[in-house]
Amino acid sequence: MTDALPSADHLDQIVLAVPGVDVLYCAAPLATVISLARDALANRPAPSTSVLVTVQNDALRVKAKIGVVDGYAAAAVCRRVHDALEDHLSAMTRIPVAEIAVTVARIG
Amino acid sequence: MTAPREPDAPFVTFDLDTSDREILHLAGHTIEELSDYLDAGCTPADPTIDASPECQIALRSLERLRTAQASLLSQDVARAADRDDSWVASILQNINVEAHAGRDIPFTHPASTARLIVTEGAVRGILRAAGDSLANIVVGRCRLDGDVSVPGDPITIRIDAAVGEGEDIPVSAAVLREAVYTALRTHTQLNVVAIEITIRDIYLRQPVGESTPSTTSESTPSTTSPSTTSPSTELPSAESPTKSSSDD
Repeated sequence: MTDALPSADHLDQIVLAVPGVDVLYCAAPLATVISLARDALANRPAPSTSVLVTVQNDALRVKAKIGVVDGYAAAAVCRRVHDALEDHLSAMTRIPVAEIAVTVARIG
Repeated sequence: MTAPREPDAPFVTFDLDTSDREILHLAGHTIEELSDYLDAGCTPADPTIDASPECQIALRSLERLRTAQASLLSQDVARAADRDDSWVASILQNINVEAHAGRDIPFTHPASTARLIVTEGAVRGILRAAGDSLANIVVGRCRLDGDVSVPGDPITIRIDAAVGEGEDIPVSAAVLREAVYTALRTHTQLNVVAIEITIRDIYLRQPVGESTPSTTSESTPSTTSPSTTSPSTELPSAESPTKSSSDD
């Protein structure tokens, strides 16, 4: 357990490993997404991670935006993603978690 | 036998309000651009489309609409004189509007850290998919009326659809209602109190084994009412939808 920020790369893998999640969308705000698109057009390398981790008032805020595959209940998948992230964060960092926001943006 | 009719008849013309009309793009793309992307087999890959859930919802709806188009002879048997849009254009408009993320619909979770939501656009997507998965039904528009952001708030689902010629409209409405309710129960915690289905139009089906429509306007009398509303089905509990007596 450390005081370092959790690796967003690793958080992506944790979310994608949850049964029912078939895609992970960029959870960054729209302005960031536009910036990333501009980078892509300019052939500049863009960050490949999708889960967004920020620190506010010495506490972590995590955002993930997912697509849920057919055959899985969106609510259950959403809860499992939250629980997987919470388990990982509580095991990996001493920084308290203020919020884990999971958005189901597409189903099926 | 007269010449086959092209699938150009008006379908469901919805009156989009001003705010709807202002929504023209999905992640910077028009519905026409998405249609072109689909035509091209989604190649070369466009990351701004592939990474957008709104675009993905719209693309899936477009795919289903094309499948429906292939099996329907779009002869609107009782079109209104003032409808001048094509039925495809009307549905495309609605796909465009409905695919937007819209409001946040919460999921409950005992953890204080949890903020779990499904977007209204995702829910509208499953409503449209539930309807489009049924034979001889084409969904025109889906709406969620009520404050979906407040858990437990009563929500009414309103769906406009068209059915194939010869279908029993009350039965079709009941089947659609059941499919929609099942999808909502599976994926959301919405307190659905009513599912109101309006059958706006009727379509002639393309004869099996024929690549082009052969049914003619002469051989098919235009006798069917263009709009039949199946009144809200009151859902007494969240456990099971009930059939509207008016459907039977």
